[in-house]
Amino acid sequence: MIKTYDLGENIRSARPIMDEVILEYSKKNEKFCLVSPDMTRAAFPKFMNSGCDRHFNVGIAETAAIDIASGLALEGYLPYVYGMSAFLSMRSFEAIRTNVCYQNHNVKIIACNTGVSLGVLGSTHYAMEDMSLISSIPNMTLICPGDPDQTVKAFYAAAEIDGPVYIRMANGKNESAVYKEDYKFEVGKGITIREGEDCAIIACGVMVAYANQAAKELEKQGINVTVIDMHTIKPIDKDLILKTAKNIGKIVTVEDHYVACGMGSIVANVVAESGIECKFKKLGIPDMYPGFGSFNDLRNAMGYDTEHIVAAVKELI
Amino acid sequence: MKSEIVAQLKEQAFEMRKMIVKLAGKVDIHIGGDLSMADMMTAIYMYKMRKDPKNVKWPGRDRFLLSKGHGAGCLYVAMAMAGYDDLDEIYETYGKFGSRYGAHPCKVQNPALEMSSGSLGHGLALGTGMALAGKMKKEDHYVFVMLGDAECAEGSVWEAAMSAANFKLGNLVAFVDRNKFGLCAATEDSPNGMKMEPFADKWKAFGWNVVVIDGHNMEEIVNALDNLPPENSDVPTVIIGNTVKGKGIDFIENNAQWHNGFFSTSEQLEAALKALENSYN
Repeated sequence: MIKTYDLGENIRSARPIMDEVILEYSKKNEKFCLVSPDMTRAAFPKFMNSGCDRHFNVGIAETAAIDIASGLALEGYLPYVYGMSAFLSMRSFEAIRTNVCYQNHNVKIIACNTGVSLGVLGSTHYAMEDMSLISSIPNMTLICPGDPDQTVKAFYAAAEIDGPVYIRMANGKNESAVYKEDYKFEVGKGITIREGEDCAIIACGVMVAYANQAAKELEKQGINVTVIDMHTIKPIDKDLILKTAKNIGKIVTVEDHYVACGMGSIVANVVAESGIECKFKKLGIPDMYPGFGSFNDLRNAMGYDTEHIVAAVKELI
Repeated sequence: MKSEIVAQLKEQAFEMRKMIVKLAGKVDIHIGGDLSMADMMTAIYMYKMRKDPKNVKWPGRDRFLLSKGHGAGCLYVAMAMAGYDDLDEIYETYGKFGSRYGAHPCKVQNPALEMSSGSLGHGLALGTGMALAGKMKKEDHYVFVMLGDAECAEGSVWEAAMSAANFKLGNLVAFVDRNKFGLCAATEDSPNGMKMEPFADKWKAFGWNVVVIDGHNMEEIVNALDNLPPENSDVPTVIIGNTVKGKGIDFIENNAQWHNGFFSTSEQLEAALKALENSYN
């Protein structure tokens, strides 16, 4: 069991955390470049104003951002593209698939503002299908950090991978930290935050904090659940899923993404192909375009807030 | 001296066209656009480009990206003429299972290529990234990108054009094969085509150095290449070559039906080769 914060106990913002990391990394690695469709100031202002000559604002042109990064990677640079997930994953999807992944170019994408984390901006700006799109592409690694500080671990892990990586940040502002102590982060290996035999909750990204909180509340009611931070969506941790399905036999997945083809579905595919009997419930965004509202109100209305996770576990057991 | 070079390049362009036609005697290729860019491709591969076919990743090489990837047939024979590839292998394996040569160039199968292309509108942006890298590394090579004119309806071409000017990439040179045809119809004079004019003005407005030439006049092509701004200059160049789709074979010229095609009988192939010969006499 890893020591964790309660939901809301320690609010952190991945954007300024990453700003410091990128600023330092840009000084150490002369191959590092940051390419952005006019989004850098929103997340990495210190880096942007540091005078680094490997920052390239290509204008509001997501396809060009991915393609230009691809060209930089071809010449041996280590380009990270930073932008809003809805536009990077959908508008530039073909560039990611054909010019990055097909040709296996060493391009990293940091995609911000995923799911409904942008709250009031509406469905034009909600990235609710990016994991299904991105996880479908060969050669891609897809990481969805389980709390704001894990984004740092994902950033460094991505740099070590010789190939495309997509890091799915949440909004990057004012989100609950999960981990109270250091822990091992390994791409492709889910993290078991706590162990219980009654049910397992598999979560990713910003929803890990809510899943963990649900587990704490269930514990008070005498229900012990396993919580897994499934931070790598591709390649998915099959061993951990099969172990969980076999030993516990009841899985609730939760994600800030369409339930149709997201992390939960990828987990379900692994279980279904194994032949192991396992009760299963997926929580996330239903088949609709959400309207306006705060992150909390939207999740509450769509059925994947803490209380819904608690209810789903109870229903399953 | 220059006239000798031009005369030799003309001969080589003739050879290149013959190879393209022979390839079209075996398989369906995008022959219209292959033939329209053949003169510029000859001058690029056989005259201007710094290259080492035996060391395809030589850092000092000029980069060439075929953004109009459906012109793979012309690219393959150009690379064969330049010593990268074996012409017979192209003829024998094109499009077959396990071949290095498909209807769109793929560097996964053929590492001598800089990129895989075929989806239009991306080559200039990748070239922009490569030119940006070349500038940062203070290297003195050019990045050449060949585009189709109808390809320039893709918005990503102009995203790249904007970035290339913004980042002052004088080492980036775009060629546009301005054959004035898309797949459906003529670009300017048909209700079924997408108009491109005023084409040169568009590039000027994006801050590019614009050179308009007759893309079949070898002397003009060589002059344009000889007078490129130096690699370390600040303004990207586009060479718009006015060309004829299907150039060299009178019965397929300026005919959208011959966007792609092949000569299915030996009689047709002979007729095409004869027409080609006549066009050079």
